[in-house]
Amino acid sequence: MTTFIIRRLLLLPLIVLGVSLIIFSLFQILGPDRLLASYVNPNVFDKLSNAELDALKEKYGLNKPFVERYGKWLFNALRGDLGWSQVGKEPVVKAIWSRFPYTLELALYALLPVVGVGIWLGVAAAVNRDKFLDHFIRIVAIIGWSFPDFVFGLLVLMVFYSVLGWFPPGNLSQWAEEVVKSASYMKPTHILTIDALINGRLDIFWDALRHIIGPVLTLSFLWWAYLLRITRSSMLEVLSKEYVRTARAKGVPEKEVIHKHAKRNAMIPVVTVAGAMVIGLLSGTVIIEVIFNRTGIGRLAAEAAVQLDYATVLGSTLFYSTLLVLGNLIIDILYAVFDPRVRLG
Amino acid sequence: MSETKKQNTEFKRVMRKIFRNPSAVLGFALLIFFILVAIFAPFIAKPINPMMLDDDGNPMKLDNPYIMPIITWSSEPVPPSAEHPFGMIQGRDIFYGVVWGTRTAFFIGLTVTIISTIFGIIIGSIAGYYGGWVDEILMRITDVFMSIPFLLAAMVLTTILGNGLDKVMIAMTVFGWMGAARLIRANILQVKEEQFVLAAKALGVKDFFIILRHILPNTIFPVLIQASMRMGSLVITAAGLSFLGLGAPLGYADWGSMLNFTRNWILGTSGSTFSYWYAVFYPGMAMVLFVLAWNLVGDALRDVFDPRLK
Amino acid sequence: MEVRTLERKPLLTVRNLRTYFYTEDGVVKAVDGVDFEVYEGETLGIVGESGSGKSVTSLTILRLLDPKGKIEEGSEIIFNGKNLLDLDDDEMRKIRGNEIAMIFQEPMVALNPVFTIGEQIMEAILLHQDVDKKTARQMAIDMLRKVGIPEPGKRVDEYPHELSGGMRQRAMIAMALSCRPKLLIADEPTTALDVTIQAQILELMKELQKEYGMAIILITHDVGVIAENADRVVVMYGGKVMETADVKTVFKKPRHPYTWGLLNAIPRLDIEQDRLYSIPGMVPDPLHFPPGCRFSNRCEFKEEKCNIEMPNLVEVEPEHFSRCFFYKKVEEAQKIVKAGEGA
Repeated sequence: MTTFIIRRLLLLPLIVLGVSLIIFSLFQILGPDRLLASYVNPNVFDKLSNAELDALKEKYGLNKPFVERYGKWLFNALRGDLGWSQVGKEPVVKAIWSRFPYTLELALYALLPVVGVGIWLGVAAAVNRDKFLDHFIRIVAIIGWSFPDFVFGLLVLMVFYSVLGWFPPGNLSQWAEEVVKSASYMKPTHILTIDALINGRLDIFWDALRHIIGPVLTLSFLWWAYLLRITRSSMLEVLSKEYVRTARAKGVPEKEVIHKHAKRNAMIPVVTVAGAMVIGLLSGTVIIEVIFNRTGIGRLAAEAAVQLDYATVLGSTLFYSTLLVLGNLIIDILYAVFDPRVRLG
Repeated sequence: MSETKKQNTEFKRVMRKIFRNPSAVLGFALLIFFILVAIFAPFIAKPINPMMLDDDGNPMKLDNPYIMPIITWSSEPVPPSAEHPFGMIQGRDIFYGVVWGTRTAFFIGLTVTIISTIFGIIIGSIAGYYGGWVDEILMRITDVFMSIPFLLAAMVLTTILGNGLDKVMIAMTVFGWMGAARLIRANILQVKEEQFVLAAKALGVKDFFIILRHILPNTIFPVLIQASMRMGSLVITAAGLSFLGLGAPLGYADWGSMLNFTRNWILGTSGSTFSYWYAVFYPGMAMVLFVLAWNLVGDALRDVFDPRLK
Repeated sequence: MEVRTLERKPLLTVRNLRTYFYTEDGVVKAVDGVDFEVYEGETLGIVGESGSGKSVTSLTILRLLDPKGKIEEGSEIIFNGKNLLDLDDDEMRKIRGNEIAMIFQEPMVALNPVFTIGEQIMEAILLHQDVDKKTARQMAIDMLRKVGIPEPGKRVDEYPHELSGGMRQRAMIAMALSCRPKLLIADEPTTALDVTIQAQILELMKELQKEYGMAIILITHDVGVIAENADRVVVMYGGKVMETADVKTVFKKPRHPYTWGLLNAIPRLDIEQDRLYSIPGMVPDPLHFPPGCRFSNRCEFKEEKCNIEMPNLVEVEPEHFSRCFFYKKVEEAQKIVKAGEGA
């Protein structure tokens, strides 16, 4: 088992390296003229002569061969320098890192209902196969799976914000922002809800919660439906297996048969598919943060894409990819935890 | 039984199975509905510009029907009326956008799905068939591609190539082939060792033909099912990109683009936003139903080939 | 193996057992009026082809049927004086694994792959006996030793996929017998195993039977296994009992065309055989049984009557029953065959 984990951990940087290579290469399509915008404010271009522009390109090494440029970029990246973010008006690394807790908060909160509700309902549907509950759950699930996240998000905003005023967009209300920004407020984790609890400010906690429910609801809506469908079909397959019958023949109570014997086996294929879900959740943060006007890496990336801020786009994409690879590693480990048959090697 | 007769009864069996299932019927019905709307778009929503009249006093025909004509000067959303059943937003008729957007959705979905699936099949077949280091390298490349979240990858490419629906489609194709590749590779690995393949090899049939005529027909169906499921998610991604302003230009007949309009109005004035519900509802519902149709169809096809999972 | 007398009370009595499956395509009468008894300490062999209803019978006894299956009115399963069909779920669960245990054909799929065999044995013990975990674990290890698994202290923490086929079946037996059931139902316990392992497992079962004084219902399609291991035999076909008697009688004096066919189909080393005999025809579709005797379309001895009327079980001699109008024909045929061999 440990060799398995070590092997995957070694692969991780290689994959991230591969990703950086691909994205960097794609950016080279732009050509030196446009790449200059990563280093120099593009508004200035008109004022400069061609000779001055060429000199700048030389200065930033934009005419050098690809390998050299990639090497230089990589060298800088490993030193923690990913360039300057126009959108954030700070170094890319800082822009991403400062926004990370917000995106993390969103993703973690969304994971809870996805896993909890998705699996629970999936098991219920499988156990009550073809009865009314099953059909009802499946219909709701397939509608959930067909709903684009931003449509749902807009609807949530319309109903819960415009009409009911319950879940406003943004991170916090104005007054809470002031408190959080003040020097006396402790920010060990930078995650709004947790920090609020640490500071003993329940009012801020509720405010943060109110602001995050809408996005969490939207982000998770698609994915609990996905998890439900996978759980259901996996559970159905497991329930028809012989060892379930053996358990009953031993006199195991039905509830234990389902939740102890069947569910653990059913989780194995679910875990393997969870990789797709992680990708989806990560991508989802981009749109959700935009719609709900929340701080986060997703919104940073979206704004950067629109404003052609190449360095930021590259940086945030790299960041998301790293998270994804890490997520997949965790999933692989979980897989080995759930299925003893893969542990040997 | 002769070959054709066997295929006929097999087909009939499949059809009967599909139609026993109400959600499958719904899926196909929705799909047919959308196909009809797409085909008859010019008749359902006439591609004319009522603001510009020609010499006879008739509204002029649009050069490009996909660019929604501006028919009113007020940019604020206007509620549905008899003339404009879905209302108007940013000066444009929502009904028109939804109808022509159907064509756009099909165009995007089918083009990207077909091209990326073909590409994926090629890569996956080569990897699966030849094995060894060819397989290793191709699979590592696939792994790397799969490590970039789809939406972000598409964002990267649109940043580089510029905005526009065609760029979005290129982006989605470049990053959309991996699923098909992996699937066909897995199937080929299973089938490769089967007797009939070894027999063909023993007869001296060239590799290419073995793949084409023996392996593919047996492994193609899961790929097709996966492709139909992807139609839905592709349209969602494309719409998402348009929504962010990276895809179709504003005013293009694309559902995501139309939802982009609503961004100004949703967050701007709270309280009165709900009165603009139609601007979100109609394009949104069109998307939901479109994706639902493809998902149901994909599900139905999958039930046919793996009934015990139903 | 002594022959038991009629005066003893049976441990298990099955009367008029009918189990029907209600499917989309119609009603499958998998078990259609089956009667038999099992006495303490004996081995009852149930032999028949696939589709004869023998497995469904065993599942019905423990009420482990698929939801589509229904035990019809009028069926009785009396175990230790109680009708099992009258018990509620809780009471039934107390019997499963405890007083009646079951082992299945393929141990690889019948054992849960994500739990160690120790955990699975302990589960049975902890469910039915009032002991703590430590004691249960020791009991599990002892059980493993008893069934002949070497290094039981080590094996108890292994997963099913780490054991060989024979050891897995031994582990299953250990699990089934951990609570000293009075009745063990073994559904094709050796079919999936190598021939040499088969013999070992059957030997093991006989030993444990003697030690625990337990009754066994041995279900198989392999006539040879029945000959070696059963005290009495029930021959099933098409959901009904075709013949039943003690094992020697059935083998020496078969009185049903089907039994006769089964015995003739066994390849013999002691006489010349140009061709191996096999019963002609196929098992009828359980959705559409013929009106008369279910074996009639494959029977050598059939007559008109057989297609129209269903024969009842007739006592052809003390404790020997056959469901055939023309069992005398079988008697005659058997005499001829024996005469031919004897010469």
